[in-house]
Amino acid sequence: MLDMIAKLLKVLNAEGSPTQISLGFAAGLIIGLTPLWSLHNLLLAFLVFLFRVNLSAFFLSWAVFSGIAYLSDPAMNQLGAAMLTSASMQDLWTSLYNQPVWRLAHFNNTLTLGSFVSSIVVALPMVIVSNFLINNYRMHVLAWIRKTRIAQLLKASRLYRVYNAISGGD
Amino acid sequence: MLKWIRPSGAIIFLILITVIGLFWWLLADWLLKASIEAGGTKIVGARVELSSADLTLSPLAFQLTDLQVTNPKQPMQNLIQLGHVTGSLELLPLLMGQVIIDELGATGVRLNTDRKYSGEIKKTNTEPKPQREAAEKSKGESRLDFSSVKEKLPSVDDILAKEPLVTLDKIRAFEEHIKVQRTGFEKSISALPDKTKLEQHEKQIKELTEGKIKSVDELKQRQQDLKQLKDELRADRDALRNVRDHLKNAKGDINTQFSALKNAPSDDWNHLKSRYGLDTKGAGNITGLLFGDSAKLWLSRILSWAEEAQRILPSDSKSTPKAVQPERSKGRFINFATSNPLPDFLIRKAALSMEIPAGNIDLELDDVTHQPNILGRPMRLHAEGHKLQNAERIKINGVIDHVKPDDAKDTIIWSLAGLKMANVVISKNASLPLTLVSAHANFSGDIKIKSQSIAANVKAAFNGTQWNSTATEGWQGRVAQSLTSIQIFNLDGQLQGKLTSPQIKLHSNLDDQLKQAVAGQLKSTQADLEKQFKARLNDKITNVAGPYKDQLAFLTDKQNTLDQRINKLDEMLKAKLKSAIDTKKQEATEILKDKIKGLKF
Repeated sequence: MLDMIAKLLKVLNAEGSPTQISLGFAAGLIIGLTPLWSLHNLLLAFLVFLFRVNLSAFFLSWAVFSGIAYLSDPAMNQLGAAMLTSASMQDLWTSLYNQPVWRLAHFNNTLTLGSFVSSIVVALPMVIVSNFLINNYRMHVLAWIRKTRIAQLLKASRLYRVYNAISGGD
Repeated sequence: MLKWIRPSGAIIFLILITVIGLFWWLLADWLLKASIEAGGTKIVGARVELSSADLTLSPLAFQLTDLQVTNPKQPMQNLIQLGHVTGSLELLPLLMGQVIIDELGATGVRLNTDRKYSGEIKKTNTEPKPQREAAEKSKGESRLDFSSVKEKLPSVDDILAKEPLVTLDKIRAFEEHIKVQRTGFEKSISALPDKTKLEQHEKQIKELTEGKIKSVDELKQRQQDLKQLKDELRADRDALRNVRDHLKNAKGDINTQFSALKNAPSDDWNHLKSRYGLDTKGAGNITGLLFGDSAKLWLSRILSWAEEAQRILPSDSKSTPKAVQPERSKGRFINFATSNPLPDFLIRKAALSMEIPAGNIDLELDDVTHQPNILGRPMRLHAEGHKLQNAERIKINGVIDHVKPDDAKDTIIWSLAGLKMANVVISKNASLPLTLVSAHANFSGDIKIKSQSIAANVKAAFNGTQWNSTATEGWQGRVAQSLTSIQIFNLDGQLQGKLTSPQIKLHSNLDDQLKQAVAGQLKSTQADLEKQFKARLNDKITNVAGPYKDQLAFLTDKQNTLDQRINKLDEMLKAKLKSAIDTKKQEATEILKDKIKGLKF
């Protein structure tokens, strides 16, 4: 747990741009919440590596949301089943089903579709919100925290030593 | 824009993917083996095991060695064992989550092989399965068990001691009835007006109708008293008539009962004839008796396979989708209409070389899947074996049609020609051990399964038959003797009913020939038994004849007594009171008579 918090602080305090970090969080969320061995995850992982998305944020988010997925799987499976069996959407699914890519992506699977739709819906606002929070954190909170007595005390704590060991700071 | 690109990242990604791919390839054989074993075990409900699996990428194909599928009902036996299996896979459907095998070849296919250890798995969620009663309980309507034809006919003493005979019941009931009847009538009659009471009534009438009436008032009083007395007499007469009528009916009843009692021994005898298989109807079912065990054995095998097929394939009983919670990270694939629908698992064409004790049989299967409703085509099978060890040819054609689960129907047509039968044990029963020493036989038949019901027919023609049996006594000896002269016969079998409890019917022209032998033997022995049996029962009836006559005499006597009393009452009721005028006339007549007597001429 301490490790996770330290990693989070390292990511937030690093030089990477807030957008790169936010995109890392969002990509980790999608891969974490959806079944791992899926075509869309392969593509997403490629994009994460290809573009300068913050990998630390990506892996951290992936680990966190993989744990959350254990709890959310049943709800997302139900969502996917409801969508795929919805009478009004049968024509759409039928036409998509006849596209090999759609089936290769396993979007006719209840959990894949349900979790993919859910994660996309959550990921987009997450990029905007985390971008805003990171900017504000760096501008106001980080500077203020550094001046507080607690921060001073923390500098002498084990947590700070762990943080330093990871970040290589002073 | 370029500042957003991380070229090293793409390279790292490709390296990672390559490493994962290589790692998978190293484990591919193991993964294939594990998934076949796990998937097969889940479908069959018993352990499915594989010695080794080998996967090749170009072309995408697999090879399996020694695949064993445990029989879930007999875990120490394999339902099927395949020595070597090869198959080619379609890549694109595989990536879409569908296993489509274009061609599958299997050699060294054997059925019902023994296992070294149990293939049973612990079930956490077992569904109650219908218990099949067929093999154990399917005694055709006309089928006669050995136990129903006694080796020796029972003695009369045995029958009288053990059998619930109607005659004895009727005798007991008749005796009891007589007792109760007599007691009842004695009680009823004692409550009726007796002789003394009638004499009192007579006296009263006399007093009222005779004697001098002095006044009109006295006349009126007497008239009133007489009327009251007559009312009482009428009531007594009605009571007497009522009991007398009951007596008459009772006489009729016991006459009828006694007549029925005299017929009871014949009824009992007819019942015993049927029970002990002494009638010709029982003897006529000797075919069922002889071939029933063999039929049951084959039936149990057929039903075992049919039940397995019904369990795996979708049918009306399972058509309602079950709310199964998918495994973590699995979900459920939903299929939509497409020009080329494919199930999750399909073998387009399979060629199996089956090894049975009689030789090799080539089996071809088309469109093997557990989701024929998605594929839209039924599974077809064709099996053929030539120049077998003991037969000229075996041929099987079948259509397993579960395309519409609500209207699933399986049809199999088969024939087995030129079967050489040698030393086939037909019956192991101690009273009629029977072996078919040699014969040539041709079989043909069909099996239809629809809506959990089965209908099957088989026709068999035997020729050049030679029998052997050590039975020499009784009807069994006659059967064995008769069979020695029979060299040609036909056997027809029908199987009908629910899959869980079908009924077998067997018919043969052996029936007529054996019936004569058995019936002749039975006729002579049963005549003696019938004579003794009826004589003993008639003796018992004769013992009841005495009480019967006594009872009749009692009833007749009482009836006569009551008739006399009724007659007497009728007489009494005719009595009338003389009028006052008549009385005065009589008085005047008396006076005149006295005066005339005093005159002297």
